[in-house]
Amino acid sequence: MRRSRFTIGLLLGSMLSLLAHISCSDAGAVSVRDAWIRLPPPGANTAVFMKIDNTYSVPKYIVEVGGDKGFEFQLHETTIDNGMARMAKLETLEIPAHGTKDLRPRGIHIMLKAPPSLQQGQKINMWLLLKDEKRVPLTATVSKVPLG
Amino acid sequence: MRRSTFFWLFWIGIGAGTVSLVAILDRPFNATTYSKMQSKPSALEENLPGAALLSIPQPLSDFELIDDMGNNFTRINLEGYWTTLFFGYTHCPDICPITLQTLSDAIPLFDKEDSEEIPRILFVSVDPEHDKAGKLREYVDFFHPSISGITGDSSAILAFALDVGATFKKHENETIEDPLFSHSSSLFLIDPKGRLAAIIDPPREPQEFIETLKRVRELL
Repeated sequence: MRRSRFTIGLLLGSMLSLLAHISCSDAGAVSVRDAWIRLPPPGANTAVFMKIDNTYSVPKYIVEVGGDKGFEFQLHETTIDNGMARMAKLETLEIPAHGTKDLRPRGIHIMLKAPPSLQQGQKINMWLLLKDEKRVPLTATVSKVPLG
Repeated sequence: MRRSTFFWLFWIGIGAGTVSLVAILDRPFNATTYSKMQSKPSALEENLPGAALLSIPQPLSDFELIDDMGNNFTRINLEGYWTTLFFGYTHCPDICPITLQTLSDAIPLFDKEDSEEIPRILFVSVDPEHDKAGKLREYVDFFHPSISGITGDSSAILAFALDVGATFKKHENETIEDPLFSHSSSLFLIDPKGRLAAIIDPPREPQEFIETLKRVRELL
């Protein structure tokens, strides 16, 4: 009786620590919601916006963005400082632990360099490459008005 | 000896004046900095949220620019209408398209309220090297056919921008091969006499632009 209690306690304890271990290290995902591409004037550059969720307990870093053939993407940030709008290239983008990064107009965006003519509602396949070499696939919808 | 002291004082005065003038001209304007810069509070009739109003509208200097149909565009062309100026460039991926879209979305909302009060919207390109008349026309047409593009000689564009209180700068960079500019994000409101009347922070929503414009006109 005493021994079986001990065994059960040991089992429960190890299960708990295993669970804790899983949730602290590997269990998690980086995923994308509401991805959209602003429908650009013919031949003009445009930008991709989305919400990126990170359920890991550690921050994740996006180091590269790619997608369908013929499309060129680059991580950028627009800042407005003292009435001046500027744009700069970002080398990495941090997605905070248990957090969300909102890529939206007038802030961080993925520039899409003068794409071949796009249509309203068209879907473009893309991916985000994380520092740990995982790839996050996503589909972005071309839209004249913000989505999500 | 006495004469040379006056001589030096005179030139020191001129020098100090020039330095402060350059410092003023070199600063980008927006509604907040403009109100901060005013040494005499009387120069601002009223400080509206998101807009700085000039109690005495400022007449503009002569300029020679080109519109998106290739016609000359001068100071006379600003007379007779309310005009909203926005400075940007067609390669700009974020701030220019979103501002032009917000302004375009405001146009039909003006119709409902008072059709005579719709301001003309002019998109002034800070990148004349890439933004020729035809390309500008195609670009602004995408947003709204009533928007006009303005281009011209780069020194003439800079002089015009500084005259209304805007500024821009080209950045050389190795990482982005496209032209890259920083530019004023504010809107510059010109009255029907062709004078600078107000500087407006870029609106986030079409309705916000309409409200600000309405309040500015009420106060003028």
